[in-house]
Amino acid sequence: MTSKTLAVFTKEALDAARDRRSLSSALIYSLFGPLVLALALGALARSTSDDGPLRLTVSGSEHAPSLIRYLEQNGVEVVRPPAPPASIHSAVRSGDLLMALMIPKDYTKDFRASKPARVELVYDASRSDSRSPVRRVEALVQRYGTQIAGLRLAARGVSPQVAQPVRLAQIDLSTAASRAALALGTLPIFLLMAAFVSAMNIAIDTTAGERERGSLEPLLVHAVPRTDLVAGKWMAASLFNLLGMALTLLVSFLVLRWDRLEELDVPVALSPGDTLRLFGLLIPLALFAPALQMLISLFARSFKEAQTYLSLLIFVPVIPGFLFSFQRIDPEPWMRTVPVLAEQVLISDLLRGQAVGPAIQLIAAGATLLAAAICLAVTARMLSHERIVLGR
Amino acid sequence: MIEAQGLQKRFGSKLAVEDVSFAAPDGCVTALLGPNGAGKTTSLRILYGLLRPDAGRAVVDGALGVLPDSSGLYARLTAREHLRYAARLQGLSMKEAEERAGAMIDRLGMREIADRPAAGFSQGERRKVALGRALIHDPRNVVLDEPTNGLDVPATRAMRRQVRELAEAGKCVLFSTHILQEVAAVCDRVVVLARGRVVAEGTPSELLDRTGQTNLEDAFVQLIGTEEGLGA
Repeated sequence: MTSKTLAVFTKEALDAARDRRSLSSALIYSLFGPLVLALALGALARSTSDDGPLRLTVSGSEHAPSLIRYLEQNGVEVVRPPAPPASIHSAVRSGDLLMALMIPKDYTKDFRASKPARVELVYDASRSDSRSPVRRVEALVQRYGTQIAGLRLAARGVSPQVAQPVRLAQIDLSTAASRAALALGTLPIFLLMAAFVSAMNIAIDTTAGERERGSLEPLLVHAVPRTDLVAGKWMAASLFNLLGMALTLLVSFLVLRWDRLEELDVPVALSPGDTLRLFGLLIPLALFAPALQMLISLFARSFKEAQTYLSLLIFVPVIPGFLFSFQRIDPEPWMRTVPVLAEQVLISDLLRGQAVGPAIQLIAAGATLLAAAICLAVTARMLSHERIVLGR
Repeated sequence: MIEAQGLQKRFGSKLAVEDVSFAAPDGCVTALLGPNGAGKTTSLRILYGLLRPDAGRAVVDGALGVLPDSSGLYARLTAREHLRYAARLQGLSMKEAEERAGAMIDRLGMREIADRPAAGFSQGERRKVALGRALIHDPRNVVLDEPTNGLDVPATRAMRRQVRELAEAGKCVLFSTHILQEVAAVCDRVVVLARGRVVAEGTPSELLDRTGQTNLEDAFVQLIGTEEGLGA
């Protein structure tokens, strides 16, 4: 590094550190991803607490003592209605009650006569939190009915199996773990996006911004080699990018250590070692992104235009991110040599606990760093082009 | 010494500079005078190496300090930091850069604004910082593009004094202007530019003799062929 590169780096880093507005926007961006992940996992933790006791308001419970006993044996806490049965509908409609089981007077008569005895489950399907408890009550009542039917058939000398020509066994392999994995699948996307966020403003400010405020010409008249200028600016942008990336990873790490997630009973936590490994494999990307952003900004006609391009660029890693996280694509060898894609594959490997040889990691890092070097070389060349310098 | 030899520059279909040759000697203030659009800024940009000429060449013997068209300061940096940065870009060591920045602040009377961010500077203060930046490495040759443009009277006078002092210290000073008064106030020599060509070159009195006029204003109007684009 030449002393002029160091001078440019020092100036740009100082200038950027004093730019509170873009610093805080970069900060918010780096917290955004991990916080979304926290919300998703938190919701998951809540929904998996399904098997806990279920409070069910039952009116007319005196008409069906054996059904009530069955429900209670299966973990339902039966509650008497606070109001007369007539007002139950309005209580559910207004949301005061999640749902209620109503047993009409005729239940006893119909049950004894072996006629279908009617019970009513009152709920509001537009409430998403009613879905799982309603399904549970439905299944319990259904199972109670099947049990009674079996007893009745047996009393008449018929095997209960005759009445069950087909039996559907539902084997749900989605466990809390696999659902948590789905939520965790968003982590690589956020990490890749983070690489394109923190340095965005400084990349624009040191190129398109420098030209727009008229400080590029005074800078170029110092006859500093263009490569020195570009290297210093890129190093400053990369420094902020690495800090932003480290912050994103740290917050992700803390989120995944969160107590609530223990209820998920799944290994979602990132070990400190894995977190460091993630940081290591993201370093080349955090160095490549500002190089590409500076090049693009230099081609933009104004600060605003550069901002538009770079905001769109943030979404580039999202596309392969979604494909890999949710489609379970098997990585082809060529993907390991394409910047962004290569890091995506490596992060997926790491989160799935697959070991990857050092040669493959070196190829990915090499490809990304080579792309960064090409961007920097082109940027330096562009600074000798009159059109680019004068912004015409 | 700064020398332009047959400079020519085209932007697309427009010929901005057609044929510009002149010499600005040491110890002397040379003005590049011409109406707006005559090719002054383009000629200077070729001389300080920002643009490449399509034909001809620029010769500068020794270090060059440049005050371009725009001051172009960084809003979040102080005057001292600007000077230090310029010194470092000229290859001076950190210690030397610090000393030169301090000396330049004293020399241009910037002590009050030395450690304030540039965001709040007046036009005159901005131009002072830009001038300090151009002179930080004590160059033998200095190019200034319309240095008094947009300045108020005291700032203009201060800038002219600085320009004179440079020439008296033996430097080669070349500056562009479209203001006639400025030529009379500070210049030893004038190069008159019109439509991308040099139409006259010499001391003010030589130009008066050549045109047979008694005042500079009439002389320039006659040389340029129009009053348009000149400032009094």
